[in-house]
Amino acid sequence: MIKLVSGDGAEFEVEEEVAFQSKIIKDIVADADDVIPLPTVSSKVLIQVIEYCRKHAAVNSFPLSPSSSAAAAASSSSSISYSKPVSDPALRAWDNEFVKLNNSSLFDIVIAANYLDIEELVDLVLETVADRIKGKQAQEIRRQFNIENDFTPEEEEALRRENSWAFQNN
Amino acid sequence: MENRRRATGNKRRRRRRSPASDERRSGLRDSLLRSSLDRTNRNQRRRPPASDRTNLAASQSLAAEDLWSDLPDLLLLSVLDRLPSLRDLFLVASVCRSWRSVFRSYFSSASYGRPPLLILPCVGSGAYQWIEPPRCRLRSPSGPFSSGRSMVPSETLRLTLLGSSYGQLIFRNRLGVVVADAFTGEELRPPTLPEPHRFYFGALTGPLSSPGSHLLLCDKQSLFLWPVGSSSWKECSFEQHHFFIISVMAFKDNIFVLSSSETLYSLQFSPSFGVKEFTVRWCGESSSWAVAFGSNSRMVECDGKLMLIRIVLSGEGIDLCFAVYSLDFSGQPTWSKVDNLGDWALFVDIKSNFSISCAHPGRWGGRSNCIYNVDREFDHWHEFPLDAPTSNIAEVENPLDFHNFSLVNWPSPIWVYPSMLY
Repeated sequence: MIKLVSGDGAEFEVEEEVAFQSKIIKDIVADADDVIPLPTVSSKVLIQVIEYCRKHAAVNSFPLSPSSSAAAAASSSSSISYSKPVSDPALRAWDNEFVKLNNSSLFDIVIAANYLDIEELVDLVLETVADRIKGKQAQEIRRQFNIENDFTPEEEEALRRENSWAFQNN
Repeated sequence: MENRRRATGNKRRRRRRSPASDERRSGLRDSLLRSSLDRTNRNQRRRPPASDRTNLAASQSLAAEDLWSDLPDLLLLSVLDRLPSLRDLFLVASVCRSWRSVFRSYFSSASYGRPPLLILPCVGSGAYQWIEPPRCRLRSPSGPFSSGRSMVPSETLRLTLLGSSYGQLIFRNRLGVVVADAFTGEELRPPTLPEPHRFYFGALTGPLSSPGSHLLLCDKQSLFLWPVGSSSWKECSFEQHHFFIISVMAFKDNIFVLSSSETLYSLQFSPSFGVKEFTVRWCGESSSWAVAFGSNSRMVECDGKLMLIRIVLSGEGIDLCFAVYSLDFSGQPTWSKVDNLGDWALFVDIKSNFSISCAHPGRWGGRSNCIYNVDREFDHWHEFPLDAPTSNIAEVENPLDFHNFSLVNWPSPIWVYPSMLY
């Protein structure tokens, strides 16, 4: 068992294979003790990350059934995919449920996942973010992600001109 | 872990990395994994105080924290990589300053991994006839997302198109020329020349925004050069040469000019403005058949190399196909045949003297080692894979349409990247 300590002092005991979903923890454990302080990760976020790692550790430890890998191969060709997609359809469905979070939780998770070097989780969140951006206007994106518009009115006018072609239908 | 964090450096330094770096693409995943983030540090680097904010709507909703504008560059880039549409990319770039600066520092036409858009004049059933008032639609090979319309005004579209370069369209009017941004329609009018000329060719030697960019125009007797932003033109006469310029390409400190007889020249600026022949040997197969179609050849920069796209006879000598050569500078300059472009696609049209290359076409569903050619009468394009030498251009279009010095070839479809990407 490995003990993870969140920034707010909460301790979490997890199995090695769960913690090792994080490449950084795997590196650290190889040459340190088994209490790992994670000062920049809050307990709320760490609970979610551990939930993700637990699920993925469990699935990854069993080989894929032939039917599910065939299904994954058949559906793998579509849009720009950044790294290998999660191949098990059931796990993918679980992932889709997992990211049904508000944007501020997603932000905390992707920062933590990036920090802990959990590649699949980073990909999962960024894919979700991209899906939430697609087809939206700048103002909608700002509202959805609570991003402050820090352009001056003059700059906004210039941007509007620069993007005008994208909003004309024939 | 401390060491890893320190090695990442601060955000500002990472932003200054080379924008066109292809290594960024392949190495992004690695860099991403290296970039563990110290969020505490990031939150100290905040935007201006609320009193400076100009947007009321945004400041009213300050209840929740603005986190996403501080998304680490590499994570934001990874999000951008997942947006196949140029339109979405441009919108993300206009969300906030920090997102914009990431977009501007990393994305260039060579590295952003999306195809150019097709500027598609709305013409009637008889080609070359505008449907009034003249306007151009935009189409993307990557899907339905990035449709839209070019903002070039109708009265400008009605002029004679001399060429396109770096996202700009160059038109000839009665007194001189108009350079119009193919997407935004923003116009630049160089000083008028003392007397009118029948220009047949126009090109820019670099993006309008880059220092040292020149506008090059050609009529039957002379070459005219305007340093962008200056007040006067330079002229050189080449009556003794009798050539037609068909393609201009800036490449490694040289500005190359290709004539219709496939002779390569380089532009000289000192001691006086002129052209100097740049002798290039041909390697491999005879070029005699290609010369017959020489006026269709065009240059393109692809994968860091200067390439020549030609239309040649193949098969039984009745098929027309594309052949690509790259200029090999080791030893005596030589055009060497390229059998495989690698993970690149080239975009060719009839009218434009500015061909385009695009890396990783598979990322938007395109085909590697392939030439995307669009003919004048149709609003679609044809794929000519270089590894399928049987593809016959003549089956789908008339090679005689390819006289790209012919002014008649407008309106016709043109591939363009937005000027912002240069």
